Amino acid sequence: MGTMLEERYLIWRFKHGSAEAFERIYLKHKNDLLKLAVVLLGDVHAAEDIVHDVFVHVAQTRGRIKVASNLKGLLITSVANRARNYRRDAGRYRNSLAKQADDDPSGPFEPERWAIVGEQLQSLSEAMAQLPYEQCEAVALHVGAEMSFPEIARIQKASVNTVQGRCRYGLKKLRSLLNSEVVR
Amino acid sequence: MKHTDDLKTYYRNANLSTDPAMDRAVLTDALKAGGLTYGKVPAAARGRNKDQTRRGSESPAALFGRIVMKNRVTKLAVAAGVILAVVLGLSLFTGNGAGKVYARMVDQLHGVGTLTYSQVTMTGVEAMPTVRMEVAFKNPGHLRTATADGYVTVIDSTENRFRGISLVPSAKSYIAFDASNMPDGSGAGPWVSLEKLQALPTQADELLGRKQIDGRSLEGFRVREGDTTATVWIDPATDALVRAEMEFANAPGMNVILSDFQFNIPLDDSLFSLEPPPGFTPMKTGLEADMSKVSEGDLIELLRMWSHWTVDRTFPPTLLGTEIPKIAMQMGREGKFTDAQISGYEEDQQVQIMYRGMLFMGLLPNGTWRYAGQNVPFGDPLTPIFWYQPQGSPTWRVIYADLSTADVTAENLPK
Repeated sequence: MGTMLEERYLIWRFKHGSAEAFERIYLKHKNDLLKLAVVLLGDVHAAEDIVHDVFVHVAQTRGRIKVASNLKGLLITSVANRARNYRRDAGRYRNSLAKQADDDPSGPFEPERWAIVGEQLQSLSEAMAQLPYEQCEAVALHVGAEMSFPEIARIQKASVNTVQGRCRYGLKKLRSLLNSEVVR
Repeated sequence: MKHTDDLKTYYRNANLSTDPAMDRAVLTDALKAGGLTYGKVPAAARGRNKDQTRRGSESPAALFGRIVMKNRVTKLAVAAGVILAVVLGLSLFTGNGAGKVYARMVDQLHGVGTLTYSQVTMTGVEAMPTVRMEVAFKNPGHLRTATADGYVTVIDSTENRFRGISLVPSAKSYIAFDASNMPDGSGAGPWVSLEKLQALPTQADELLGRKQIDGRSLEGFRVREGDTTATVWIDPATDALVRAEMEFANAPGMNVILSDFQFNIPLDDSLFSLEPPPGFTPMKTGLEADMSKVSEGDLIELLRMWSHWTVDRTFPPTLLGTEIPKIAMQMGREGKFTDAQISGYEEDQQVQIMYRGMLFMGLLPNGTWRYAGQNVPFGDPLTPIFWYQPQGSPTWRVIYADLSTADVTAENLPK
């Protein structure tokens, strides 16, 4: 059975109430989605919350998912939207940063999380945090989630040209920030 | 770092795994929230599915077969192409101010019973195919078009109504259609246009002199009328029209060539039968439209629906040509269509939307519209995908990729 058919079969079973199918979907996508959320937010706790909420919401609304859906794209879009909403919740975001600064001088990554997150992702996340959010999101979706510019344009409600510009500027800055990391 | 690929590799290599506690939390909460259970998929759940209700019990294998091999969007898109072929067959002879009275007069003057010719439409766009079609008319109001690969459409028209049937040989299926309240002149058949072409030499802006075409010495005349430049080639020995070429200023690269005219040759009535050949099954029946109520909004709905059909949300590769059925089937095979239900429309509604959208296209005279939506995804409010000049309007209507519209002067049209 081809990959596309496997995916559709999985969605079909999930739509009809199969916990095994949901578990397979979760296991297949969870790390990529969590990585995306971490890169977007620079906060493992918030990223976990968002990924948790995305999967619970998908389970709740399984009846509305179409068998031929691009499930990965749907999940990525959902994570991106929720991450943006999270950031826009200014009070919540500020409180989170303040709490992290008080509790953990090393930043949003707790020491026990290092084994989970990995040093390279921390570097990437810290570099991404220095970009304007729209650039950060565009780069993460394009480079990390491998979405096309038109797909990102739909998520960002911007023109394709704007998205391309955001990626270009974001990548340029990211290159300079990460150059030594990548050369290593 | 020099390339985006380096960053992709760096991103991929940035390790991350979820916390087992998180996995437990997600699975517990999601299974509870979604009512998911381990074990066999409950039969009751299958019954809730709209498709299952219609088809009864269906295995996953059958489901996959339906999705990939018999994708309803593919079928609907094929139907769209067939309908498009129909309306394009008509469109050459609609509009341009030709009225019923004039049509009758021309008919009486010539007393022509049958007419056949070849029509080649070149789009000028690389991704769009050149369409070659054989056209046959027989009084009163019978039309037959056939492409080289066997797509046949037969139409029976009166002054303000037409009904017809289109065959899709590759699927051994057919589609029947009906339209009432046709605009003035659209039921006049080919005679009006031919008479206009025949009369063009008397109004010529430019005399092209003699030229050998297909072994015949012909005299050429060029006439510019509005957006259209017509070049006609006449046999000086008989004054008969041999070839007509039309180009359109607002559709650069597009042209239509009519040739091989034959008058009053015997054409059997069976060529114009509205009965499908044995073994052909109906794709969809009951396609009906009141043409007086067909509008730009119908085309917009068609474009919206198609963009929901495609996985990448792009618009149709073309709005011109009998090649669309083949393109649609190819797109279906390549998995470029989603499930028909995703469009948010009922299936019957989708067919009607296609039909009405295609009829709107058929009402637009050649050279008064341009389509640029191929490979363009839905969404960008600044990307024009279609523009046309409503009859009698000094400005053009432009439809953008977010399906918004605007009135634009000719000098501000997209290049």
